Amino acid sequence: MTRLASLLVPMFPLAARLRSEPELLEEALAIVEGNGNNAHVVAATRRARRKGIHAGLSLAQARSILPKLIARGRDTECERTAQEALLEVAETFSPRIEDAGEGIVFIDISGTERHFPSERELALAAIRACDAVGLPARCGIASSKLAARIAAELPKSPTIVERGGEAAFLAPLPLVRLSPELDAAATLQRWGLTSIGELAHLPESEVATRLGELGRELHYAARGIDPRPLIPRGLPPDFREGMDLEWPLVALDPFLFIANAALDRLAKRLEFQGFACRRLELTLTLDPDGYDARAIDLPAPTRDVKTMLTLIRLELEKKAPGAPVTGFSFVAIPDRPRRAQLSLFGPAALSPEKLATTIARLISMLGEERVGMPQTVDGTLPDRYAIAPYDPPPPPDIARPPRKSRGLVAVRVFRPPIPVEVIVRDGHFIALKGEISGDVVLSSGPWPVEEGWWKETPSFREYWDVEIPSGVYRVYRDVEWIVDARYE
Amino acid sequence: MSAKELLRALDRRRRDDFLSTTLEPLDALLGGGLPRGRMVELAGRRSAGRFSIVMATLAAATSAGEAAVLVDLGDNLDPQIAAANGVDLRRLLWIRPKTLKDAVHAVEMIAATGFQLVVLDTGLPPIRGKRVPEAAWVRLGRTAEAQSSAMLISTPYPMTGTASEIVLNAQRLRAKWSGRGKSPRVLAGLTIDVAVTKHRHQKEGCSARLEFLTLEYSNS
Repeated sequence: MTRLASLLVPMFPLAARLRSEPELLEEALAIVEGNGNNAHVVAATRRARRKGIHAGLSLAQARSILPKLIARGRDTECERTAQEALLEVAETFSPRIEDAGEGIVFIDISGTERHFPSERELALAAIRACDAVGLPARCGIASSKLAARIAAELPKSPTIVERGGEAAFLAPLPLVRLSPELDAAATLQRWGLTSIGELAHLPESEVATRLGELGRELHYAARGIDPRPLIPRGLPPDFREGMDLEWPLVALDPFLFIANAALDRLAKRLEFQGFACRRLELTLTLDPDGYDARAIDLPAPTRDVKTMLTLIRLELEKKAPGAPVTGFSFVAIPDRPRRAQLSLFGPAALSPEKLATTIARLISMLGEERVGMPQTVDGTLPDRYAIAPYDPPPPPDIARPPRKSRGLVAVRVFRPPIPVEVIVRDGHFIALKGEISGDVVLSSGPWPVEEGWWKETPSFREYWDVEIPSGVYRVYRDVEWIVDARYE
Repeated sequence: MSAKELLRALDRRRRDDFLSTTLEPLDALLGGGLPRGRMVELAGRRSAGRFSIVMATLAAATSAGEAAVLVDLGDNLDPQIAAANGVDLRRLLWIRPKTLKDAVHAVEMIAATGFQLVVLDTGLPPIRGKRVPEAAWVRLGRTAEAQSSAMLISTPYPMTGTASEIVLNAQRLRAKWSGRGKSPRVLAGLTIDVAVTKHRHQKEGCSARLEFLTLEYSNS
């Protein structure tokens, strides 16, 4: 028999908002829906409820009860990302889950007995996992979706309904738990029915005759029969976090403060799924209208919020949005984090994630062209180089002795090269003057170097090695004499 | 991999408290090579062979499969020469900061990731950027200790103060030239002298003579 778990987040619009703004948890906060006179309370925090604020009140009524009430509109972006987070938690327990919307998810837990000692342990683990992503959830387990959902709605969580015990579980509960249509609820009340069990005791045909198809469905539900199968959900579309802002932001630091919290949530979600962010897409909603979309490629998959935040800061400093920001969303393109095989006998491998994070921070500090792996470039002229992203091969399995040095003189290249004046007498170098100066002790050359002879403007240089008291230099003649390196 | 090989590798690793520069006189002077987990400063004026020692050390570390980083404040590295020296460029991270402060910050950040060899070359005088406080060098020394990295600071004049385990002073004795008379004269190499000016555990004042050859002369 199929066993289903239902995860339910009570007062979902409020929970979603508090997930984005946890500092409001202790405040008297109400989530409202609608505009102007139609604005009405959908959910309220415990502090507001204690003062008499409850769902259904108009905002004006709520304000008359509690003038200092903080009101926030329903944030579809927050709710969407909270629902995504809930689904991601569910997917860590089973690949077969159904998105029932508004903070409800069903999980097919058949076959998970080997992983958890009991269904109660599984439910507790699911609640803990929801807590980790900032969602206070309840859990119910039963053999049908309806019974699982009703079990999850009960304040005592988790609630486990034994196999085949759905009807007995539902019987003492009030009829309102079945969420019957308003008309049918009034009729049932007139009949004097108060509990689900009383409805279940009535003959099915009689209820169907009086209430039609709806009555038959209600009677089935009251007996714990729910023929609706679980409709599995497809793969998650993306990792997205964002927020609609109450006030437009014009400065960078307040935006980064809010972005930090969103990135933190995103990083936790990625971690939960074992992913890291390879590319971060940022969309800013501008005031009064318009969007500014950007993408930031990370040097390697990472979940380090500080790195991502630094890169966002640099991106926005480089090119400001040009209008106040009223909302934003981040989409993380996931990738598997790089793992290193640790070596017992060879040199220790670098942690790929730590390395990637550090390199990203160095790039943000110094610039992309100033951090990387040096590369040689084909050609004959000296000082040809390229720089590539640093991606070292894994260390050898066994420590090996270093190769014996060739003992070569290194050349310290001057970038840019230094122009000098060379005093030549009878074809011999006498002295260098300028930034590098001194009487020539010895010199040798010229050593001709040619490159690109097949081109219209080939490069041709004649090099000399020149020793002066302060060092040995490499000199060539272009339009003027140039010192491009020193032997050191 | 046989058990004998494993035992030998373990034994080598246990004894491997030094990173050999593969320059025998210098290794002998240092007591086996650059001590891991310690900071060594190499000071030397123009053409004193500082960069050649840096290249040899990078070549030794990377050829042994270890990860090395060169923080090159003067932007003086020529990858062709480095490759000719035997540096495995795939294992070398090259960082080119613009100021000394950035360079020290970069060394601190990158050393914390576990590179086995960290080299900071501050280039030529005048050094770009302001002086950094001595506390920064002490922090670098501690980072090297925490990560067991060999850290080499190559500077034109002593900068690290009391933070270094060993301070070496390099100076050029002479440039070697080959050929005389009608045969073309060729720069053959440099002869340098390296002296220990500070060592926490050994007697100071010892010195070693090193000879480096130019690539062209070595190939001829």
